[in-house]
Amino acid sequence: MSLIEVLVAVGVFGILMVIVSAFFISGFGAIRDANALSSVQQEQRNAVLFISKMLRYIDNETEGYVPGPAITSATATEMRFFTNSGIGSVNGYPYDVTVRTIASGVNAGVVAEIREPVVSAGVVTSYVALPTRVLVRSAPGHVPALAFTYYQVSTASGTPVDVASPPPPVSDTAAFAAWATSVDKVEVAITDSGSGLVSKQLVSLVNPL
Amino acid sequence: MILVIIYSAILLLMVLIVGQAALATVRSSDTNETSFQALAAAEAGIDDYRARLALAGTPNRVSSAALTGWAPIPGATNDAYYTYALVTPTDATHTGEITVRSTGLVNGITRTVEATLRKRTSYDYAYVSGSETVPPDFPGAYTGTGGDLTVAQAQSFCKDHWYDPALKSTASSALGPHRNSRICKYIAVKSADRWYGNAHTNDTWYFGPSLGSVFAGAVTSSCPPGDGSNGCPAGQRWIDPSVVPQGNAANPADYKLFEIPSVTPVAWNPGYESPLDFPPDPTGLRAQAQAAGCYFTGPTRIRWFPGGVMVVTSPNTTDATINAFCREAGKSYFASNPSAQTTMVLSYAGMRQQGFNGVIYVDSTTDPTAPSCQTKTSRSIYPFIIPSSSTYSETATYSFPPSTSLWKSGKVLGFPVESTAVDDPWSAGFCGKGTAYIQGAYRGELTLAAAHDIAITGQLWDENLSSGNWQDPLAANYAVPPTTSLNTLGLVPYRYLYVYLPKDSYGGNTWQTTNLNNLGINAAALILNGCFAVQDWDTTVSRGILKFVGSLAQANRCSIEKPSGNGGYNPFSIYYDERLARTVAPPYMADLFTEPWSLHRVAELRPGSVPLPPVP
Repeated sequence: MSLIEVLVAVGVFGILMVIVSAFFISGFGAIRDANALSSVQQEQRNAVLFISKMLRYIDNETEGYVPGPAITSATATEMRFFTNSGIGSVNGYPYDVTVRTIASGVNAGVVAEIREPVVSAGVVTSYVALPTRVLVRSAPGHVPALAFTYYQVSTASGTPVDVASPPPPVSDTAAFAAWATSVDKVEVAITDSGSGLVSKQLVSLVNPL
Repeated sequence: MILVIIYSAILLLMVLIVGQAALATVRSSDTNETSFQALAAAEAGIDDYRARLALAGTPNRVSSAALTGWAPIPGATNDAYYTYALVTPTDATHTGEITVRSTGLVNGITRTVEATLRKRTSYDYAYVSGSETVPPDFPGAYTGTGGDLTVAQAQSFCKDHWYDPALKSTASSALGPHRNSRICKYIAVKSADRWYGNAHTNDTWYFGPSLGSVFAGAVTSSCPPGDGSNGCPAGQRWIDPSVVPQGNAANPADYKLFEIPSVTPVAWNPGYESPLDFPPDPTGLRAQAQAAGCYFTGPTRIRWFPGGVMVVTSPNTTDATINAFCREAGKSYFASNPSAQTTMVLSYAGMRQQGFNGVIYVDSTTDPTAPSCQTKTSRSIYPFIIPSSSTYSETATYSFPPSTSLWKSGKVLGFPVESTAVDDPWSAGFCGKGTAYIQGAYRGELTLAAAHDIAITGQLWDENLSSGNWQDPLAANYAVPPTTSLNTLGLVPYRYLYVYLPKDSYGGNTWQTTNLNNLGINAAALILNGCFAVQDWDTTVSRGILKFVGSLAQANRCSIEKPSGNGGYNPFSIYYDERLARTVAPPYMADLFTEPWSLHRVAELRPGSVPLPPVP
């Protein structure tokens, strides 16, 4: 092989390398962007899964012929309820949970504010607030938006179907209590403001309320 | 060549980096998926346990490989297992509630759920009735007080549910689509009465319409959907007495085909709920009493005193048939001399230490020579029972529950009172019957069943009431036990649970009726073939209020006051004892019901909080 042939080969490979490198540089950029979005989506998804787990095991605070409430407040963007979903160190007694969005501060984002039951002689005597859990943290260009959709079973058509049922104001105590005891499913959705990515989950409530 | 190899290696490296980045994302979502699968596996374990429980009938008979280790999920295509355990101790599965814990395992990830299974029982309700009519054989209900039916006719016309076909009148054998409410006897619910708790009837309610303040809790009925003649319209699942007044049994024209018109629903319009089948008899409890409880024979007197003291007189009970911890050492209940009967003082704590399971059964005897059936010194078979304790004398005064001497006078003091008429419908012919005469303040978890009746002769309270809630009969919390109390008393008579108030004409001179004024009862009653009643309800004078705190389940419904309202108890209140929502449960009472075990609550447990078998 002559020197000229070597130089030509090096030149050809050099050109090929430049072309391939350009592709790879572009590819790495895409991967980086995809990773960033994937990270957002993963965080959203984990948050939705955690919220779903709590929603799935929503339970009455107390039993009896007039049981303690299970859902104590609900709007399209936040919800407070009691849940028996193994989220703390106390098993078998419902936790008091609020899931909402905090706009600013160190806990800005979608958060779960959890109050743990204090049990004495088999009876819940009080609740202790645990540190706020930030499920999706707000970041520049990425502000999470939380949304709840509530469903009740309707038999109006003769066949049971789930229909969306917006909650009445909590201030209307009787109407809210009646609504809360007939919620059958809850859909939770988190939307990223920057990318528009949405993670959502429809949760069937296991326990009768 | 070397350069080509180097370039190729670089290209390969880049491909690997890109691939790794992609895989990292996939792994994360795969972990979530596995976690879901583990949860599904755990819930499949609960379903498997429920299916096996339905087949086995009782928790103690359930068998499965998953009870001792990991069992593969039938039909699963991945490495999915579950294991489960009955959390409720074996000896506590007779309360009608059990807890099962199930863990799912998929690819090394576990999730654990805990399910509460419940069997529907009478003490899920403040009030349950099989039928809202008065029992056909209830003294004075259908005959002798203006009634139109004989006992046999009442049995034919009124014993079934309203929505079952029945004879229209005594004039013919024509059947109508429903019971003729105009000739059956009902007991009114008055606007001053208060029912706190869920109320259900397997029948159709006959009351209203101005009862909005009476009910605090769900009111339900098993009346099926219908047009008002063969079932209930959805808007009105009750019969309005003003629309269907009492009529003439002999007049076919008094049969009203549409007893329930469709009207605007009232707020308390009963919803539909399936019938709760009453057990036909308490024999299941008899077996428990014979095994590890107290099994008495014939009329038996039981008084409870604070401190867990139980004072018993049972003249027909022999040493051979009763467990040793139910009697004092060296003493015998059996009365060789029927006029000199032995009363024993028992300690609940001592009995528990010796294995007492909390069940007391009072059985009947057909032996005509039984001591209770023999003539006493008064030359009468009355009283059947003659208490004799000097320590816990029946003629002494007690501060809690408050009572004075139970008898004003009489040659022989006992039950039924000595002056009871020979043909008294509450006592005549029942000298060998398993009737328990009870009162006092009890301790512990107890179920008292009787093959015949249970008569309440004084206040019947949880002994923890002594801390308050018993001085003022008009107070809202009168006779309401503290929520922390673990005492409970189940009462399961075959026939009647009644307040012992014999006729003034022959009982008033001897029986201290004032002890029964403003009566409070703490109990979960399950009356299998009769009702809760007041003896001689139609002649007694006003007794103040009657408050039943606990749960009242009865096959039929009876009166506790005079129709005129100037005698007996008024108002009558039923308060559901929230503790019966399974903080406490009368022993073995739930076992009488054949209802299926259903899922009551499910909760997920914190990961790692329960011990698990070694992973397969």
